Amino acid sequence: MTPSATALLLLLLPLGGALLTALFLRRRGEAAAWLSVGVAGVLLLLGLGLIFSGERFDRSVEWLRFGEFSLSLGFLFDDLAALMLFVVVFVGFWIHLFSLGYMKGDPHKARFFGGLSLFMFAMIGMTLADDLIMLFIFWELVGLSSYLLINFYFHKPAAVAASKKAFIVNRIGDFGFLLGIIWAYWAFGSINLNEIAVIIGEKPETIATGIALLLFCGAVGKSGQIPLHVWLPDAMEGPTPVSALIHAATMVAAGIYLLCRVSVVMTTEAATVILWIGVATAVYAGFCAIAQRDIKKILAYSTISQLGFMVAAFGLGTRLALADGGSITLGMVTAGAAAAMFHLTTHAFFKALLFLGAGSIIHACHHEQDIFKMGGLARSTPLTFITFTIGVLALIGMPFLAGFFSKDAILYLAWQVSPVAFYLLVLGALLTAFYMSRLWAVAFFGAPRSDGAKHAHENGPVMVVPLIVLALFSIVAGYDALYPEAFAAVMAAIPHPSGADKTLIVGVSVAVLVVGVLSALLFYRPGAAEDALERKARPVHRFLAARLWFDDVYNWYVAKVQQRLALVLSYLELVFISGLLVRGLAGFSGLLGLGLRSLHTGNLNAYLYWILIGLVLLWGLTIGLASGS
Amino acid sequence: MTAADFQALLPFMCVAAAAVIVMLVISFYRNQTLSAILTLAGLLVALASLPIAWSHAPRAIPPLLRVDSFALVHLALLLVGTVAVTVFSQRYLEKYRMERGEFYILLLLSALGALILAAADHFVAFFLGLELLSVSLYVMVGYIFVKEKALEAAVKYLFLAGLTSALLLFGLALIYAALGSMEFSALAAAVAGAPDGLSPFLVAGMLLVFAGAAFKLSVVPFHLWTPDIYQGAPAPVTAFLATVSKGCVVAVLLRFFAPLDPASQTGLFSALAAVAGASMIVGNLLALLQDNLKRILAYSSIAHFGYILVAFLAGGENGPAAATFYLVTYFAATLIAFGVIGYLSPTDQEADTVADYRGLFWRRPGSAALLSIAIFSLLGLPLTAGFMGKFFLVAAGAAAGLWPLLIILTVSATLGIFYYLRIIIAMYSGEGRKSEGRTADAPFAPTSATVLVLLAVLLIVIGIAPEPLLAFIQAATTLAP
Repeated sequence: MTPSATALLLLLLPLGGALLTALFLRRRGEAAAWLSVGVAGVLLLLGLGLIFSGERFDRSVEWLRFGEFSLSLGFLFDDLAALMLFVVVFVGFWIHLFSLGYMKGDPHKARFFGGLSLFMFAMIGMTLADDLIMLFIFWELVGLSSYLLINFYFHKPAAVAASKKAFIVNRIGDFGFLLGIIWAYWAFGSINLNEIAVIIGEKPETIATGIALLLFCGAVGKSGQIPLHVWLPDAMEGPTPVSALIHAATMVAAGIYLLCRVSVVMTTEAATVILWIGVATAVYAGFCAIAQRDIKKILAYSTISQLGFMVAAFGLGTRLALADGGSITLGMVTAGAAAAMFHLTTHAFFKALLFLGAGSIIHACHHEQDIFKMGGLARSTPLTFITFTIGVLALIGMPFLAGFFSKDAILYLAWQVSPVAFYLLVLGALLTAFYMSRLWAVAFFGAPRSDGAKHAHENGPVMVVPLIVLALFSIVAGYDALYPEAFAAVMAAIPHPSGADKTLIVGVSVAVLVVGVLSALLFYRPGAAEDALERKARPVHRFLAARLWFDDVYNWYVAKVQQRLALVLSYLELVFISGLLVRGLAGFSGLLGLGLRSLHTGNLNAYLYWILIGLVLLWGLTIGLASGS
Repeated sequence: MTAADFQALLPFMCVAAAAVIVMLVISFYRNQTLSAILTLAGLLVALASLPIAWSHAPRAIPPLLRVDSFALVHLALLLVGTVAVTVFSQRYLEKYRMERGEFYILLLLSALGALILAAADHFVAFFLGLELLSVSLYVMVGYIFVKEKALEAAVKYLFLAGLTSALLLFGLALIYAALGSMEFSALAAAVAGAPDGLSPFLVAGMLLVFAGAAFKLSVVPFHLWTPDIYQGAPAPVTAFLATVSKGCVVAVLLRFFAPLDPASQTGLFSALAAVAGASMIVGNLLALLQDNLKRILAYSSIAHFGYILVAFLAGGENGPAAATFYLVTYFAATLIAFGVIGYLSPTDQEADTVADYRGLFWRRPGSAALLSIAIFSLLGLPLTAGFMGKFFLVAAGAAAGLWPLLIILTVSATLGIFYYLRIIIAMYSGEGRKSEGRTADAPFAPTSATVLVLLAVLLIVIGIAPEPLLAFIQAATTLAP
């Protein structure tokens, strides 16, 4: 089989699985589940085969041609795509397996596994896409499947609201993305990245900056960066394996992958904006996580924060590459892209592990999600406890675990580019250590504080084995020497501190780790039944819990601005319908009466008049503009 | 007239003959099903005669008609739309105890008017076709006269369409005064002969003609009737109003405006651009406020024809092809939507509020799936035909440099998510209890099911592989200026 045929198979298998499930297995949950897990297994084998075959290719066929505009469909499989594909199929498989246990006994299992297969299709398509339009199409499909899966418990109003929010907020980001694509076509006459790379040097830098920032909008939406991060915590209403796969390991990281793909259009100004948005998100989400009680929400804010680290890494590295007249050429992996992808990979392992661990706990505690109502889980669920602890240590940057190396690469970049960003990211790391230690100490120790936690017991092997595998990778994924030759292009570009810098960075990270963990343990005391921060410093807690009022502002905007704009327009129509303009003030009382009646009893006379008025308006416009020009 | 002329006119004659046959049969034997079968047969024979007509294209039938590949593509589209409406009507009318066979005579005559419009090459044919289309539609809208809403809608439509017909006629008079001829080609000659600008008479006449057409397309500011009449008319008639009666007008407008060069007609084209922009904004914004499925579709259709006007303004090589392609996708999605609505409507009232569709997926997964595909396509989700349609519109607009309109298109189309998604969410939430929504239980008749499924498959296939259809349309719709 040729490599591109393998790629095509990778794409079509999960689609076939999703279609089969939708058509024939809707009421046969068990069969749908095995089909989906089987497909994920084959994807893992095929994917690994493709990655380690060493084949790298860029092959496309023309899909359609319209005038001088042509659209091609094709695969671009380089080391960047290989690494992303590895994360998707590898983490994807273990989460599929875990779901077998987690969703056991759910009557709508078929819908769940169908959705997962659809997601795999979209995500693999996005990873392999070779031009902006194809990337955008799969980008939208990923969003759609995420929407379907958040909405899985559709009888819960919160889940329905969350799915709607996710879809709409993402579309706002995607809208910028689409404008970026259109602008790129306008400015360069092409949407093919290879062609853009050639033309971009001839255009003013402001255009490239604008396009880069618009494309970045897509990443802001999908990767939960400020100000579009609001959907991600709510998305935790979906089943926990979905949170692990889509809202922690793969889909939300797609924004980072997109940035790495479009490195060529980046400019110093764009990179600066990207860098600061990433830094702000990393710190902001860290503060938010402190005031959360729901284990999944804490992890969600942690994800947002870590995505902020990745975005910041990309911005920092791009600034570095462009400094002193440097340029980014096609196919080049900058230090920023490499550090971001490295952190993306390690994060995928340990965050998927943490989410699955959380799922395991939630499952064991009979769907209790409040960490202050857990307790004692270290004893009752020992394997989950050990693997979860490894995940926590990897996330907070314990030396010699995965997160330590990838975070240090980012801090080193910041140190080289901007001391302010460096200190802020260090603060972000400190917060990470603090809130994760809080979660860990409160949930696992002390006496069980609810019925669910009292009767908690370890889950079966289907759920525990994925935890162990992911824990293993959370330990070893930081050693780039262990990465095979297949990812060499990315791995070689990762910045590593040396000499005095190394001492400084390692010293700072270890100090931050120790301070964060100790202060959290002292402040919250393992096994606490209530939130110490809430008790001792209520205003601070309330401020953190308000999360800078992003949600409130958006709700206000939709309710008060957007809906009202539509209402005003509808009112204007009513004014014309009731014939205010034609019948003068006498119509006003009629208008009030009409406003009370339902809108559809439109007044025929007014319709007739309005047609004539419209005609006069058009006539005026035609004559006016004709004489004006 | 030569034999070749006759052959080129075969599709028209088949439809006209079918109308006469149905009328004759009804006077002896009143049976709804028989009338429907005869209608269907007439339409299918007309469709089958298209290749024969094609072999003689392009052929002018002086002075009124011009049967060329452009006309034939639109003829095919209109005939397919009418076939779908016939199939939907058969089942819909069965629910009412009244004389139902005559409905098909009206439908056939209306369709004939639409066909004439698509092939019109002369203002007389334009007017004749439009009136034939409208007069039958007045009756069709109010056909279920036991329903008050339908009667109200019919009266409104009658008055408003009457006014716009008068405007149109006045416009034709002005054009005749300016040109001394009623042929489209005379207009082209006049435009070519006066590069500095047309006489005010001519511009006013063209504007009035456009107003008459814009009323049928229901674009701003001639859109006010749309929601009321969509809601009041029986669902299959609404389907006809939303597709066939609008599609044929797009065809005639494309032909009518083809000779104009946007650069030299800034005034007229700016006015049209304003109409397009306003339609996209008003349609999408007002749809946000609706709770009624038919009204949502009415407002969204205002927006859809705003989109089509963008391609129309783009003109050039790709404009007509993009507009025609968009029409195909819009036809398929809209027919599915109104077909399903008509099917799910119980006798006493139409099932048209969003609440009626709550939990539909759990009660009737097939209907919900069909409706979802249609809505996703209307929304322009990738891998559906609607996405491709929008894509080509944007490409045609971009080639002509209509950036402000394209920005309005992208922004306002994004609003579509808000109202379309409400329908989808309603269908997939709920538990599937009978009490949740007011929809009929009757299973689909095999004919309707076939038509609906074929249309849905078409939407998906076009969404994945638009190339063959696009190439065909591009080759066929190149209008000689």
